[in-house]
Amino acid sequence: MQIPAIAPNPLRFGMRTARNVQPCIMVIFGATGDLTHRKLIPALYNLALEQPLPPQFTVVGVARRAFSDEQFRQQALESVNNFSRRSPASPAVWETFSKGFFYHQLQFDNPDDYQSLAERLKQLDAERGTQSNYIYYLATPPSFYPTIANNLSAGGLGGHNNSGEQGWSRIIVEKPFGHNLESALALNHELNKAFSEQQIYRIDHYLGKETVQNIMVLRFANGIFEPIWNRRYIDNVQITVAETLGVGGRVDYYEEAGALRDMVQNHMMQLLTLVAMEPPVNFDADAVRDEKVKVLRAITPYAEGEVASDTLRGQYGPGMIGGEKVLGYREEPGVKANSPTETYTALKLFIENWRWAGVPFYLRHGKRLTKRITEIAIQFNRPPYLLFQGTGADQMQPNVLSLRIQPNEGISLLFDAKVPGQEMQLRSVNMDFLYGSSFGVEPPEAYERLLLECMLGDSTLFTRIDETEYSWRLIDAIERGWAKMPASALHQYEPGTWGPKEAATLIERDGRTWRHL
Amino acid sequence: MSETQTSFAGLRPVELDAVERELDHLWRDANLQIASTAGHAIARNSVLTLVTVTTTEAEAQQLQGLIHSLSAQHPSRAIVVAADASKADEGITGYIGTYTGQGNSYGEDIVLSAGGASVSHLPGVVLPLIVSGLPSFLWWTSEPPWGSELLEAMVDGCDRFIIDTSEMSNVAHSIRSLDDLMRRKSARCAISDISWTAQAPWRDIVAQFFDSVVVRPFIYNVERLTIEYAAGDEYMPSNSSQAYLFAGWLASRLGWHIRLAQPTPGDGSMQHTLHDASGRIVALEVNARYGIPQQGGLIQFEKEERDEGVFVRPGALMSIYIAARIDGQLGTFAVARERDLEHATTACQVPQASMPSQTIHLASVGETDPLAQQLGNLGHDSVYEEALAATALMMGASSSRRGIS
Repeated sequence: MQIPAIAPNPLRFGMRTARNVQPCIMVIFGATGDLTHRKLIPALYNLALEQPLPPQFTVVGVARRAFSDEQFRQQALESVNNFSRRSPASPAVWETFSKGFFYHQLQFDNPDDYQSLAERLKQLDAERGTQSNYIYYLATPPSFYPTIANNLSAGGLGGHNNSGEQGWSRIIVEKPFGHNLESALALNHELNKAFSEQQIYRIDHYLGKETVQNIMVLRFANGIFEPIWNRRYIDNVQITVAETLGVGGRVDYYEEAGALRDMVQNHMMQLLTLVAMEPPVNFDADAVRDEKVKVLRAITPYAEGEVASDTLRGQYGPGMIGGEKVLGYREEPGVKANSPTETYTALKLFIENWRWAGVPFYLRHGKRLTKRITEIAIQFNRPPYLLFQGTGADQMQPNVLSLRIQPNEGISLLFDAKVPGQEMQLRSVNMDFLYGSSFGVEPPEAYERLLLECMLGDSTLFTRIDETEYSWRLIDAIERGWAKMPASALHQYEPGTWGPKEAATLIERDGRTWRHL
Repeated sequence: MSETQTSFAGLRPVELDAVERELDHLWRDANLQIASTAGHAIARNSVLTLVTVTTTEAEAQQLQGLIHSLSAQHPSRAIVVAADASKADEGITGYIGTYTGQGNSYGEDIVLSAGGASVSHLPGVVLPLIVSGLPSFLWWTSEPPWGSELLEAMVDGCDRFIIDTSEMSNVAHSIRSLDDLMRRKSARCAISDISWTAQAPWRDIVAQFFDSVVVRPFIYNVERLTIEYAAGDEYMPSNSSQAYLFAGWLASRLGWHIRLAQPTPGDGSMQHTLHDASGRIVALEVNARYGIPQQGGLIQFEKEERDEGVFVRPGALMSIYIAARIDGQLGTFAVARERDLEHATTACQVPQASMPSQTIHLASVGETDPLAQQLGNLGHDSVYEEALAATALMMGASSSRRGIS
């Protein structure tokens, strides 16, 4: 029986690992850096341990330092032992897995080095059967992205398969993708010289979180939520990303970025679009991302005066958090004494489409806040309390469906119930679903899921350029408005609080309050 | 809060018509006690009902520990039934309890014990206790009474029937009976086998050989398949269930013809002649390997004396070897358990293709928690059902009634 070689593997049918990773080489630029050792290598090891990567899978670490293959393997082993959730490494598994680890010294801006990299990859293709399939992971500062992409292309390693040989190539880039719309488009233009949009995987690790993926399951796999997921039943939506930590060692980056660019432009916009989008026709990458882009396009741009009224920024001062003294932002090492960088932002926006017209979305994010929590709260309209007059029912909280992303991942529904007794007394009660209780298994790290998706060629969980573009349009409008505002518009707040007191005004003038978390 | 024994003082006897009401009281009392210490209230919920049927009360008690360990992933109502028809008939007695364990896992236990003629009345007691609207699993821990009214009624009342053919004394009979049950009950109840789930990592590994398009044509040109499994010893009999289910899987996926399979018993080995989809001969050899350190099944009824070292269950796969030939060129594909018994290593020799060796930690890819995986399965597993049908043919089931050539 002659069976064409390209027929699907008949043994994969119905298997839990029905989607199989093709043999490939992952080339990690910035192989000696923090991201590689804290996140990428441990994630790759976990994937190798729990869902066998193909035996041909190969890692080539690329960086400027002089390392041998053996030194790189040793450092990788330490990464696994220090940072993998499955540490320590199994010696037997590591023995064969690490044989696929290699190191290649390279100056990012030296085109000649890319020729030698190309030769090395070809050699590994022959030795390990990786079939010219390459994933380039740019774990470097974003300023190197264009240089690396162009040199890859010039070295015959670009994404358009211009070598004429078989195989595919993909490139993964980390955030931030630009610092405004113009720089994001310019960066994309540079990447597009070497890689098409289908080959560019913009990573946003929030999308790799199980609880974020569960938003789509909650909405579209349950019949009870979608019918009421609209302006007729929902009063407002609040998205909170609160952190207790300060800027830590990221001062240089943060001074340029601030809370708005660091968190709102990417992670919070992803949460917003997943909550607000229409059902996609299927789970194909473009079907899902088409719907997310429609949401971003429907966000009403801020008019001239609306930035002042509908957005707010703050900066933490010195104080105490958790009983310990902490520095104010401007006292942090490396921060300018008169830094205008915001560490807190709150904003109100509207999505002008049939589903959401008139429903305000309130977003808030800050550092050095009361507690670490990420939550999306869907607050429903109050019912008419005519039946319960005199019982205090009108003071009760409205129904709230809250999706907790971290910590204590889960879903809660707040509703009213009668207190047992002779009198009609109402009380708000919480119906809790805790991931940790109902599914006590440890979920994979976000990077594991995202690396696997890229290896499989599925970009659903990665950000498409038009998503980036539309979110930057919104952020740029806010930044332009802020630039015209006086320095006093940067409100100081005490560490350990819920941010500047002016943030309350932003929502209370609408007759609503921030959730007490 | 810790296990039942400390917080809820074990199970309490209960009248059969008061099980639900008494469980409500148990949860209420537990939460009142917690509230008095300002602890976090326990939400009572389940994602499934697990009905486990065993023979003795001692076994039922042993099973509780295993079931509690599953609750982190599958919070459930667990109904454990000790059904011993050879015991004197003292009616059906019931016990209930609630528990919380590691990772805030929690659940509720109902234990029912019946002897003599009362055993036949168990469906009328058990089935009403299944939580409405949630998936229900029926796990029969020993050889089921094939064809009995008890088994038929219990299977009819559940969504999924689980057995472990690795635990059966007569594998061929069990496989054939299970296949027969599957065909008759497929409309209302899915069938599954822990033995099948336990060898899933081996199927993954073998499938992976042929993911490469360069290597894939070899899978259509297999001429020899050799499967080794851990033989039993004087305490635990040999069991070839996993080995034959693996062969059945390959046969069903590749369209091999089994009608002419003629087993030739040898010294600890069975040889079959099968035919591939093009009619070429495929030699199947199933061998028992002796001298492998072993331990019992999922349930440890007695404390293991050997508490050091690593063991495998009798019947666990030890190695798979596939030889295939295209245009006279031989390709070989092997995966073998390492001496530590925890890992398996692959080896592949194919002309003009490179495939490095790979070592896999079998527990990390699911070899050791097959029951937990079973509880995650809802609905029919068509790949298993086709593999079971093929295996049953190898084990002597009639092919004519099945319409399989």
